[in-house]
Amino acid sequence: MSAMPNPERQRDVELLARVAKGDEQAFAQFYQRCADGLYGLALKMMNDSGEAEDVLQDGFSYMWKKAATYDPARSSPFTWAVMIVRNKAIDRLRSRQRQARIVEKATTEFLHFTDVDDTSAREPVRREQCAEVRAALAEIPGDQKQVVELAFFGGLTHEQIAERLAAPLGTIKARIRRGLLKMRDHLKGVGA
Amino acid sequence: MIDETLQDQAALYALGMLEGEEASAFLAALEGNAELQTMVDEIAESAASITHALPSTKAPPDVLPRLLAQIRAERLAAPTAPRVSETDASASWMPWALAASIAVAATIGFFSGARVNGVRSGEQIARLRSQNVQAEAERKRLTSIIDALKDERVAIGKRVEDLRQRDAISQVQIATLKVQATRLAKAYANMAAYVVWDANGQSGEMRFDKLPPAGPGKDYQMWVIDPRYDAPVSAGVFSADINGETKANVKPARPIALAKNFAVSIEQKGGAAKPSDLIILMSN
Repeated sequence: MSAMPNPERQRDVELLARVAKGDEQAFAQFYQRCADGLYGLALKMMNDSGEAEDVLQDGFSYMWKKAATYDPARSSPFTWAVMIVRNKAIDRLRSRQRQARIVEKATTEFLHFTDVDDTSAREPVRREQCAEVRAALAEIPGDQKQVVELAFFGGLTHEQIAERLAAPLGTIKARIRRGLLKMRDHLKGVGA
Repeated sequence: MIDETLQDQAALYALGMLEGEEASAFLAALEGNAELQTMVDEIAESAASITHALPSTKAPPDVLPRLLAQIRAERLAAPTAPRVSETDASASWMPWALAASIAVAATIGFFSGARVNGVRSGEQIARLRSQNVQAEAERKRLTSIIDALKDERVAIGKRVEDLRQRDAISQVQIATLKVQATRLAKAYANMAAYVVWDANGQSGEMRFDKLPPAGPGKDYQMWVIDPRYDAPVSAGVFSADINGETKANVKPARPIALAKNFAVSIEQKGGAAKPSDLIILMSN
C-alpha cells in the first residue's frame, strides 16, 4: 500500500510508540503531522467547523490514551488515526441526529472534491498521496464511489444506504466491496 | 481464495458497518484466517486513504494547546491514573496465563499417564505436546509484556513525581463548580462539574455530568471573574448535552490576567453582555 512512503510511516510509528509511553512532545509532533488531514475529514463528516473541532479534539484525546493499543502490523498510524476520528464523528452524528441533513448533502455532492485543484497548498509528501488517491478514485465507477462515500463519510449502515438509493442490499454490499478493492488494487499498483 | 460473500463482509467490517449475527459469523471466519485478515487491513487502509483526497484544510490553531492542557490537567488531577490502569488491566492477564499453563500442563500429565496405560494414541500426545510448547511460548510472551508494563509503571511514577514538583509553577488551574442558586439545588443535585483553565493558552474547558437543560429559549453562559475588570468576562455559551456529559470550551472575550473564579449563568438564547441574577454555578 502506498498511502504513505515508508520513512514517513516509520516516523509516525516511532512517534506513536513514544506517545504510548506518555511523551507529550511526541504527541504534539504526531498531532502536527496528522491534524490537518483529520480536521478535513471531521469537517467533511460534520459539515460544521465547531463540531469538527470538537471531533478532532476528542479523537486526539482518545489517541493519547490508547496509543499503546496501536498495532503497526495491522495498519499505518494515519489509518489508525483516521478510523478513530471517523468513529468519533459517527458517534456525534448519530447522537445528534443530524445525519440526514449531512447525508443529503453528501448524496448530491459526492466526491466533488476530486475536481478541486488545491495541490499547491500541501506539503510535497501529502501532495503525492493526494494525487495517488485521486487517481485511484477516478478509476472507480460513479455508483461505487457514491456508496463508498456514503458509507465512509456519512456513517450510514448498508441498510440505510440501500434505502436511500432505492437499491437492493446485495447491490450496495457489492458496490462497497468492488469500490474499495479497486482502490486497494490501484494503490498497491502505484506502490509496487 | 476468499469467496465474494466473505469479501463483502470484509469490506463492511473494515468500515465498522457489520452488525449482529453477520458480524459474529464474520469474526468466526476471521479467526486464524491470515489471508482474510490481510484483506480487512488493506481495505481499511484504502478507505482511510480517501481522506488524502479531501481539500487541504488547516486545523484550528487552539486545539493542540487545549489538548496539552487537558492532558496535563488530567495527570495532575489523577496522578496515578494515566496508563497505569492499562498496566493493571494487563497485569490481570497473569493469573489467566498461569492458569492456562497449569491447565495445559495438567492435561499433558493426565494424557502422559494415559499413554503409559496405552489408553491414548501417540498422535494425541504429540498434539498435546505441541500445545504445551505453544502455551509455554504464550506464557513467555505475556511475562515479557508484564515486565515491560512494570517498567513503564516505574517510568510513569517518576514522571508523576516530576509533574507534582512542577505543579507549584504550573499555569493550569483546576476547580470544581458548585451550585449557587439554592432554589435550584434540587434540580442540580446529581450534577458534577469542573473547569480546567490554561492561563498561558488563555483557554480552558468546563465539563459537566448530568447537567439539566437550561430551558426553552435559554442558554448556559460561562463567565471568568478577573479582579482587573469591573464585570465578569463572558467566556461563551453552550447547551446541555442530553446524553449525560457536556463539554464546553472556555474562550474569554477579553484577556484574563487572573482567573479568580469561574461562573455559569442561565441567559437568553445567544448569551448576554453581563450575567443576569441567575448565577447557577461558581468555582470555589
